[in-house]
Amino acid sequence: MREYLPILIMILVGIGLAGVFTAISILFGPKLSTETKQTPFESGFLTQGTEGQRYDVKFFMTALVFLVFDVEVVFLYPWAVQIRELHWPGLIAALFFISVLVLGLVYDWKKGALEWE
Amino acid sequence: MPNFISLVDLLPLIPELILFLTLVVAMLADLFVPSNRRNDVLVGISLGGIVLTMLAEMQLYGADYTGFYGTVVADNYSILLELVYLLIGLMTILLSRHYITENEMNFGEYYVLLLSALIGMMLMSSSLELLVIFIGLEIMSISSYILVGMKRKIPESGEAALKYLLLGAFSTGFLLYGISLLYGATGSTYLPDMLQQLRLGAVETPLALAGIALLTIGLSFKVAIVPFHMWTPDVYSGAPTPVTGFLSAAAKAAGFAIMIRILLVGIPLEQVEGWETILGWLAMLTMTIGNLVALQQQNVKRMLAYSSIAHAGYMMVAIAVGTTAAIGSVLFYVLAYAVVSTGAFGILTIRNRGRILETYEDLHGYARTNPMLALGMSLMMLSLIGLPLTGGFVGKLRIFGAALEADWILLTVVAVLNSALSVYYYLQVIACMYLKAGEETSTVVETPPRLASFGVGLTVFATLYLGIFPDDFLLLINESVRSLR
Repeated sequence: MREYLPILIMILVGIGLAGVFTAISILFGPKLSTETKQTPFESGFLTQGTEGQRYDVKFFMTALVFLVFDVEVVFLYPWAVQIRELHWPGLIAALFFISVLVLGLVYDWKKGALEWE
Repeated sequence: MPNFISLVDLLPLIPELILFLTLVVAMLADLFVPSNRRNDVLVGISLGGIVLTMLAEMQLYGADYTGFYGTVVADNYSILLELVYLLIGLMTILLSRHYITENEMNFGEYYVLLLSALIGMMLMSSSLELLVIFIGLEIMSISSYILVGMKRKIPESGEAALKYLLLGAFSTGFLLYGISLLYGATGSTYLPDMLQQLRLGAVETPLALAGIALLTIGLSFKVAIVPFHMWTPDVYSGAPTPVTGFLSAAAKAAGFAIMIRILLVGIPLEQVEGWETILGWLAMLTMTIGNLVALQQQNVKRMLAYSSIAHAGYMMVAIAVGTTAAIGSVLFYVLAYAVVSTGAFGILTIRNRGRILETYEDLHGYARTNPMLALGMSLMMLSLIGLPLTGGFVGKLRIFGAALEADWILLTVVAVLNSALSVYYYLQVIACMYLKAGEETSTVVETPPRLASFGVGLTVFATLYLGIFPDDFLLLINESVRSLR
């Protein structure tokens, strides 16, 4: 367990530092209460409606399509860096992966997930 | 130059690859075939793909290929079980065609998801690596969550899907924790390496024991062992009926397949004191509670759901006994139960005078309107009771025989008593079809959908064949049990 000691120290220092900074700001910070400060989000847009609002399913569609291509990038980036070392098997594997994704794209397209209206 | 994958590695995965290609073709067909011919084309593609896959499995039988550093195997055990899943998948597709058009769930995705659930099952039973097994399990589970919720206009279907998703995810968590603790205790997730480490004494460490316990709980959730069965009745009754049949047959078979591979072969349970007793108690609880609650059900689908819990209990008896004979008997039972369950749920998809079969009253007069189907249903019920000449009889005989041989007297007595208890509610189904005429005294004989009658015919044939000529299968099962390592 000894080798974990630095991590424990690190955690304690982290907690301590946060505690010290919070204490400093509580003790020495100016305390002005205005109407704006009482709103849930002090800076940013004014809130509208309730949180349990329903929103359109097309946002989810876009999110899903985005996720697919996001993950594609995550996988293809390391492959692209290592392409010379991985040689043919790597190329075949990547092509298989991309073709499955293309299939997904064709599916999205035909099912109308890419149309906004 | 790294050679991390070669073509030889793919040999044991050929059946999975064929089915994957079928899935791709089915998905494209769903997109591009005009809607009036789509259903037939999809049924044709799926059936053709499954038959091709079965042929490939038969070619691989006995060759014992391994790939990917031994993590994927095609031993006789996995091939036998994969053939069972494929057979169930084939029957389910035959029984689905009319149901999905009648119930406004006529989506091409239905077939695609069925195929992908099959791929998941096949992957999980042909692997020796816990993480690959886990991936297979997830492919199967995620596909079946969607399948359960596919009757989108019916709230019960959505409820069932959500319950299945939440509890399924919960149980997956148990399984993963179990795997990670076992990895901590043995330094491997590869079953043979794990076995070696556990044999050397790692099995007695608290870490490994906790891992085994969590793994057992996770697997028990998947096959619905009491007290982890709560999701079963709601999911089974809310899901589209052919999907219920598929889940109770193929998913249960797959669950028991990995249970045998992990708990009985991969972990030296005989070194853990008292573990078999715990499994024995689980079996007893499962049988008894399943049967007692099934007695009180008014809905036939719910009754069959509880009956499927009870049957999981009978199979659990064999898991607790754990001898070679017991493993063979549970394999036979899984096959016999899977066929019967697909058949029984399949017959429930075919309406009685336009009424969907749900309660016992809906079955009234079924023998008049659909005499052949009523006969088939009666056979299924007799097989679930375990009367001679049906597959259920041979299965029960072998499980109870194996339990007696290993001196599990109490467990056998409870199991036999439970079988007697179940006679009442199974016979009630038959009584409703034959003895009660129903309100209208119409004697018009209805013609059931052609594909579905073919599917039901297949299950009837298989049940009788397993009951009358069990020897061929017992031989195959012996070979496959011997190939386990």
